[in-house]
Amino acid sequence: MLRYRSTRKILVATLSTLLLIPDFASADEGIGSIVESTGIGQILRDRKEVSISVNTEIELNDEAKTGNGRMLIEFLDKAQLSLKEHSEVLIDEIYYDPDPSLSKMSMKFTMGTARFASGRLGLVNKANIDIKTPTASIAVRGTDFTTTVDELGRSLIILLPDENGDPSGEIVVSNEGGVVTLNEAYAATMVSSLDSSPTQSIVVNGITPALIDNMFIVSPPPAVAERIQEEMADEANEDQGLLDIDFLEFNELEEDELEEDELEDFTELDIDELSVDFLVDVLNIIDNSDVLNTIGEFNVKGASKGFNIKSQWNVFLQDGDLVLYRSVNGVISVKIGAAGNFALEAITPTWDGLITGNEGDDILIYINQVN
Amino acid sequence: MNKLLSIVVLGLLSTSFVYAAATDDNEIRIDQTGDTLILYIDQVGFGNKIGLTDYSGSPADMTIVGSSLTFDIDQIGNQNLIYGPLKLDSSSLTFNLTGDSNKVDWDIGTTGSSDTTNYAFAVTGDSNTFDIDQGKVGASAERLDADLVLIGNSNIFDIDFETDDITWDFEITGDGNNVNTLQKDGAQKITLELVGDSADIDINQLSGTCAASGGGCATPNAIINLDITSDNAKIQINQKDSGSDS
Repeated sequence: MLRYRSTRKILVATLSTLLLIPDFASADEGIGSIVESTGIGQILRDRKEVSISVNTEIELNDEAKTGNGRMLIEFLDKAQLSLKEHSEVLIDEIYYDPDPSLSKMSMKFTMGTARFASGRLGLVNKANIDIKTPTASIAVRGTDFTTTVDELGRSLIILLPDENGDPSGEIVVSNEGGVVTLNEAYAATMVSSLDSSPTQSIVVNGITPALIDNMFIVSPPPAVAERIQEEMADEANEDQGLLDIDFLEFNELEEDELEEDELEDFTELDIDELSVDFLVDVLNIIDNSDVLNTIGEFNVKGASKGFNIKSQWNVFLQDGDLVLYRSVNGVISVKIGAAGNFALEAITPTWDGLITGNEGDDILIYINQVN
Repeated sequence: MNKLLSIVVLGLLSTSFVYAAATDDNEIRIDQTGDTLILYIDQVGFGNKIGLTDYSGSPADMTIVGSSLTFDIDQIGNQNLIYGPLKLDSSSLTFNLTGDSNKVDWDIGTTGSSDTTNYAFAVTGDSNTFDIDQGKVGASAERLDADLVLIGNSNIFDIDFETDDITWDFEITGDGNNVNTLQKDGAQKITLELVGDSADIDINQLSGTCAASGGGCATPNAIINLDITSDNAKIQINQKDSGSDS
């Protein structure tokens, strides 16, 4: 099917070329399709959610998003875009011309972890492949790399090896702060902001493509973290004379005035899967079971609205019902009907405790989670 | 070659008479081997049975072996019975049961692999008993998608799916229902919506969590979603990465 579509499009483009009419894939034409999909994912098209499954076509300006799921998209030139969990990519501009130098592929990796492998059909010159993150541009001279982008736009880019373990080519990462070339297998660079230069290339040992996920941006590989620290130290040691004072630098924007308000509106969408701490010291947990929190029609003890750091339960209202959601090692989500009373007792590797609602136990929930 | 088997059985509709003859009512024995079977069974009445030769004695199982099977079984009435070992790859099963005190006892995959199966159970009635096992004997049983919509009271479900890549969706409305589930091996997901009082629910998910010693994982394969509106519900969740459910 894809081969047919690809052939058809090339034929159309050829005819257009003969007629000296540029051929661009229109926004409603398929430029690829989803070939694998697991868990929660969606395509946003014209600001509307499109339900997806295998073989769902991808169109220009589609935004591919995953929740607790993964998605693999294959374009007409066999280029592959793989999204891991909680990732977002905007398919910005893709069109194919019989002359690969006139073809173009442009995408924005805006959140999470995505892997891009350029197409083996060679329909697009690699020089015309443009991948952007919030803080960097990636020029592709290789074939296979990953990006991991966090909510601040910080980007970790890793060049992957080919099937022989050799570097799959070369990619150039640049922004207003500088340029770094990655040309070794598992060579990585971290970009913290649009005007700070990418860290120097550093090879990350002991990883595989499967291990690269959103945890990498929360806890960068030691080699990358070390490089960041070194460069921060170098920057701090620079001449701090009068001319180095940046009068535009101020910290007021770092204060989140809306933080309290956001907590009031904490919903399912505010769950941050990356906030999970797998290394909580149970001995340090303070028993807050006596604190009463009013959440909608619930008086809750043992947890408050929002993300509870120690217990790692996310607590929020959904249509008046109370939802307790925890994703550590396994996912357990409990929704209690409005005004119901409950007692939830849990024994887990990282938290043992009791959460009650409306001081009752009409609904008794025992959780035993073991690894 | 496609096979199409459609069976319609009308049981005895006079209640008093039917109860007197419950042990030898309408019985369907199925012993089938082959692929692409499409089986429709509609049984209406009391004491209908599928899967054995003589219910008055010890029940015997029906035997179904094949792939790409499609079942559509409707039983309307009380005290209906279905027994059987099934082996069905790439198969779809729709089961509608309306009535009380019905029993379903299935062992799926006891004689070989039962991969890529899709079940849809719809039950309306009280005091029904389900005992369904799949993947227990070590044969391959992967990619199971099962749905249950239950409206009724005092039903008992004992469902063990020791398979990879399981998705279970329960919707239960009624009081005094008892549900025991076991999901074992690989990716597991269960979604349970319960509206009713005095439910007793045990959920066991084994081998789907990710090890904390490895730094955890962003997306565990063991997922439990509960939506509960109830008085006197007792829910026990065991979620662990080990072979034991205790």
